[in-house]
Amino acid sequence: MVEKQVILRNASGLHARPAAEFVKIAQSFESDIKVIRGESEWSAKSILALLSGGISAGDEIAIRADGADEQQAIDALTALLASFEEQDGAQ
Amino acid sequence: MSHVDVTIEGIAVSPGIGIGQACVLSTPDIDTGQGRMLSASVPAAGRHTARNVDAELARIEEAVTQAIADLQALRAQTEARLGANEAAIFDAHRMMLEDPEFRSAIDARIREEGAGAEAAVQNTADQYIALFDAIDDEYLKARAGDVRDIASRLLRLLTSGAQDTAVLPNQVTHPLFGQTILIAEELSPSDTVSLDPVNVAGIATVRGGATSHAAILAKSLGIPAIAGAADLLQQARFEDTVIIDGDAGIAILRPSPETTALYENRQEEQRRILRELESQKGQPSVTLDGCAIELFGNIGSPSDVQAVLENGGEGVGLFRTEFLFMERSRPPTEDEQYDAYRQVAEAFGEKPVTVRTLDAGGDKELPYLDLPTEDNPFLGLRAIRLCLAHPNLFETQIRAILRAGVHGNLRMMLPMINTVDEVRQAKAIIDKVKGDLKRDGVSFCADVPLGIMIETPAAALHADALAEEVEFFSIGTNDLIQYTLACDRGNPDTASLYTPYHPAVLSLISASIQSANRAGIPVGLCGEAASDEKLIPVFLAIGIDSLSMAAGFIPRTRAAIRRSRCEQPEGYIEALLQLPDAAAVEMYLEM
Repeated sequence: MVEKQVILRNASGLHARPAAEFVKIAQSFESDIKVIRGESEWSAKSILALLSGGISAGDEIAIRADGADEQQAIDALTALLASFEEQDGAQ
Repeated sequence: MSHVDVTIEGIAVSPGIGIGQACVLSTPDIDTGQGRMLSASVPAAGRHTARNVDAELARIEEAVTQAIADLQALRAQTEARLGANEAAIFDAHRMMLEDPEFRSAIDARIREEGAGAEAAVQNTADQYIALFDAIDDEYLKARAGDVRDIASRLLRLLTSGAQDTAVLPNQVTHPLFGQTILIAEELSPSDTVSLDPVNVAGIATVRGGATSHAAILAKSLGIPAIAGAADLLQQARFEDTVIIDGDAGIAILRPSPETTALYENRQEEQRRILRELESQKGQPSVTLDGCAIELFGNIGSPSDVQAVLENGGEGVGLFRTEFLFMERSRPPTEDEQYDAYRQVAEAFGEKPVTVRTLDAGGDKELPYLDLPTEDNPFLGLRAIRLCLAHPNLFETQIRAILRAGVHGNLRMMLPMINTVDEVRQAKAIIDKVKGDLKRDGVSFCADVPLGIMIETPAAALHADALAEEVEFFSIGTNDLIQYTLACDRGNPDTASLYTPYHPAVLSLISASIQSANRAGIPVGLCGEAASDEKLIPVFLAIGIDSLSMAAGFIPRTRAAIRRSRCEQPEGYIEALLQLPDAAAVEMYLEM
C-alpha cells in the first residue's frame, strides 16, 4: 500500500473537468485507489463520489493506492494534480 | 370553464409564444417513502422484496448496458442536430452511469436489503442527489439534475422493457395529440433534446433557469419555455389550454377566447415577420427616410458565428469572451484565446468584430481565480475591476486579441467602465503588451480600436469625458437598467421593477448617445433593448449608429428598422423623457 499527502493548489480543487480527468486516470489502474480528507474517504474511480466530496482548493488530501500497480498509480495521479497547478500558475 | 385567464408569472427561459394543450407530467410520491419520484415520466416504482436477487442484478445490468447505448445514440443525434457543445452534456451522463461506486451501491441494495432493481436505483440516486443538494456550490448543486436524469433513464428502462427508448409518454410526441404544452417539475436534458418542436408548442417547469442544460437545448430547438411555474404545475389539468409567453416569462392557464386571439395574433405576427425576414435577407437596414443602421450579432464563442451570418448580421457587436473562461479548471491559454478570436475575425473578414474583454465576477464566477465571496457581487470586483486586479489574466487576453487582429477587423471593448482612470490604466497595460509583442517579434495589429461599454449611470453621466479617451461606445442596457433602477431582475420580488421604459434609463441612454455624437465617435447599443421594436425608433431619433443582439433577433429588427423613420417631430424625445413613469412611456411609444 502506498499513500501520499497532497495539498490541492489548483484553484478549482477537484470540480468539473479536473475531477473527470482524475477519475479517468485512476480508472486506468488495477489498484484500489482512495482519496482521503480528514475522516472521509472516497473512491478515486468514482466521479459521483469525488464530486459529492466537494474537494476544494487548499484542501489537504491523501491519495492511497493498494494493488499491483500502486506506485505507478500514485505517481500518475500526483503528476496530474501538479499539472493542474502548473497550468494555473502558467497564466 | 371556471377561472379563465389565470396568469402565472415565471422566468423567461426560451423566447417565443406557444399555445397548446397541457400535458402535466406529475411527480407522485413513490411507495418506498423516500420522497418524490425522480422523473415525471416514470411510472411508480415499488419495493420488490420478494424478488430473486440474481434476476434483479441481471435487470440492472441489462438496463445499464442499454442506457449507455441509448446515451451514445442520443449524443450522436444531439451533435448532428444541435452541435458538439450540447452533445458534451451527455458525455458527463455516461461517466456517471459507468461510475463503479454508483453501480456497487445499487447492487448492494439488491443483495443486502432485498430491494428490487427500481427501488435500488431510486434510493441510490436519491442519496447522491441529497449530497449534491447540500453542497454550497452552484456548479455541484446543478449536478443533482444530471443524477436525476440518469436515474430516470434507468427507471424507464427497468419499468418499460429494455428496448424502450421513448423518453416521454407517447401522447406528448404523437402528432394526433396536437400542440402540447409540457408542464413538469423539471425537464432533464435528455427529455428536452428528444422533443419535436412540431408537436411541443411550449415548456413550463418549476425548477431550472435560463442557464440550465435543458434551457440551452430548448433555445436551440426554438421551443418557447418558462421556469418557476410551480403554480401552473399545481393548477393545470390534462388538456387545459395553456399559453406560454417565453418572451415575458409568463403562462396563461385556461385563456379566454379574447386572450387566445390576442396571443394567436402575436404568434401570427412573429411568423409573418419571420417570413418577411426571409425575403429581406441581405437587404440593408435602412429606415423609410434613408438612415442606415448597422445590425450586429452577439456571440459567446466561435460556434455562434454561423447563426449571425445566416441571419444577415453585419458583424459582431458583442463577443462575450467570458464563456471561453467559464466551466473550466484553469483560464484559457493565450493560444486557445487567439484561436477563438482568429476564427471569428476570419469568418467576418472586413466586417467588424467587437471583442469584449473578460466580463467575469458578478454572477459569472471563475473558480480558478479563488476570489473571496462578496456580499454584493454586482457591486464588487467584476469586469474591468477584476481584470485590472489580475493584470496577468488581462495581459494574456490582450495579447491574444492583438495577435488575432491581423486576421480581420477586430475591435476591443472594456466592460463596466466608470472612470477615465480605469480607461487609462487599461490603455497602459495595452501599450505594455504591444511593447512585449514587438520585442518578441510576434505579429500583431497595433491599431485595434479601443472602446468601452456604457453600463453604469456614472459612465452615462460622465460620457463626454470618457468619449475623449476611446474610439467607440457600446451601451449595455441590461446592466445599465439594473444599476440605474437598483433592481435585480433575477430576483422574482424585484424583477417587475426592471424595465427599459423607465424615463431615467432612457435619459441616460440619450445622454450617452449624444456625448458620442458630439465627440464624433460611433455608438452602438447591445442588450435586450436593442431588439425592442418600440424603442428602436427612439434610439434612431437620438442618433444610434448600430444595434447588436442575439442572432435570432436580427431579422425582425431589420424589418422594424425598415418600417421606421429616424426623423421624429421636434420635441418628441424631450417630451418622452419628461414622462412620469415607464407605463406612460410605453403608452406614448404605442401612440
